Amino acid sequence: MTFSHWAFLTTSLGILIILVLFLQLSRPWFNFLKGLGFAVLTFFLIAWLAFDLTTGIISGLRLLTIGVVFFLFFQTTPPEILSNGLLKIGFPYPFTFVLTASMQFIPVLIRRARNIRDAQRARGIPIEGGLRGILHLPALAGPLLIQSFKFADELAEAMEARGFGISGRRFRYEPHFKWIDWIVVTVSLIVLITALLFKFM
Amino acid sequence: MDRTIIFHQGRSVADGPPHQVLAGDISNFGINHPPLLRLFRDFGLKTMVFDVEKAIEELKAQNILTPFYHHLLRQSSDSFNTLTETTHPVVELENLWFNYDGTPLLCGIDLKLQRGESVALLGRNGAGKTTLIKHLNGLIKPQKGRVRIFGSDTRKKTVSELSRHVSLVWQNPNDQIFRPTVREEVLTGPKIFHSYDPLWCDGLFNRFGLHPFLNRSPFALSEGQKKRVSFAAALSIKPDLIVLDEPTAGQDEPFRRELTSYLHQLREEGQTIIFVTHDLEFAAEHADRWLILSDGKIIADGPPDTVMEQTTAMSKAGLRPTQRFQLIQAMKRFMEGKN
Repeated sequence: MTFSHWAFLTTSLGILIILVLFLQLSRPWFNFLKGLGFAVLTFFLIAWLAFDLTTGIISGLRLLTIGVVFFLFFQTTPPEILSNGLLKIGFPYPFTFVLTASMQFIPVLIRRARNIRDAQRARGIPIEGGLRGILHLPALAGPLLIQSFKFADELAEAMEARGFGISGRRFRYEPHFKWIDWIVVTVSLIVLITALLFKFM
Repeated sequence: MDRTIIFHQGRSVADGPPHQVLAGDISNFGINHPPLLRLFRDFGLKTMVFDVEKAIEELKAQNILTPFYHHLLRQSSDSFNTLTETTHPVVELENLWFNYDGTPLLCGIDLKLQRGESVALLGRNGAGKTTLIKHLNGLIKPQKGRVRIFGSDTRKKTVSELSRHVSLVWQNPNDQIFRPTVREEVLTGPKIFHSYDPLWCDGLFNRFGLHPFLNRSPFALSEGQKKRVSFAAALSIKPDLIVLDEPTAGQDEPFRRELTSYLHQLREEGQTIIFVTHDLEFAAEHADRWLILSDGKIIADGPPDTVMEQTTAMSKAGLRPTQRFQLIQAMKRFMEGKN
């Protein structure tokens, strides 16, 4: 049981790392790992302390694998392609819009959070890591929340001003399945079935 | 422009051709007259002029070009301080380099600012102005070279230690507001640094017209009022160096006037001020020294009129000389031609 977990996790992670290298995404991947590292470490420690070292390592690796899958997906799939794909399979437009808009505005919010952090640090408020930073969290969270609400209002007004909500499809891009998509879907299904067989046989 | 409409308190108060609308008393509506018109009004002339050529023609027609020229020159020599270099500069940048993601943003900047100087930092967007000012309170540490503030190397000081002496007023006041009342927002700095001076802070509340709002939420204020709050908050710790990022951006004339008078007072008290701006009229009014930053380098450094004469640097930074400077140059050319 444990062996199959190890084999499956290490194989999956190995394949994912090869994909990262093949797609020349090693630099953003390292940056992503810096952020995910803390969560993986926490997950590993909790599982280790609650159960044993093996469970801890497996739990950490599992979270890392899931993280890398999401990283690869969002690095290789622009939000508008995802939105168009979801529309094609029947999702309503407001749903796909909310999904893709949230993805697109994450970098904007990160930039705003950095500006706020700089503004507060320049006033002598120590918004840094550690316990002291947590004590001063309202200085970061307050302006960020207010700005996000305001931003959402402005975005809604801008969208309405540009005709959001008018019925009928108005996209130039029409997604189609290409040979590479068929290959990826087939390989993914084979991997999924193999994994299920490993698990239940 | 064919037509100008002025809105004030929810209704249109003036509507007509620009020369007709601007001829009236528009300062009550928070709008300033165009620069040339202001210069003419200061000299007691009622003629409507909007461009330099027309102004020259008008001055020639009234035969007052020479007295007007000397009046303008006198104004320029009155407004600027000449500071001698001291051994202890307030700010000292030594071969400062900074790269972001492989793109050089600052390339070997050398700069010294003396106590009491008022400096305008000019340049196109992306020229490195914000990166430079973030070095002054340690938000960015030099990758190569050295930054000294009052003799201390910023690499050896924390942002909190530096921000006790260097106050930065950001372009967007919403980035800093988080306290439930205006009073608490302004007094955040003095509480952190244990430097609360009731008399000084009360003076700031008065100066920025904050008394009626002291117990109100800063979030409920207008953008102009929030800007006042952020100025008062920055000055509440009695900083030794004030750095202003685009202080006049999006602000109306009354706020500009208040800021003008406050900066004037601070300069008279010997305060060192650095401001980033795209507003050359404001920069010419308040700075003893202009610095033009382009592609991470200082390409012009000197008194405003000297910098405006450097046409290559000005055009590289996408800047046009002020109308006052253009007028003086045009008058000079005319008088030289006449002689």
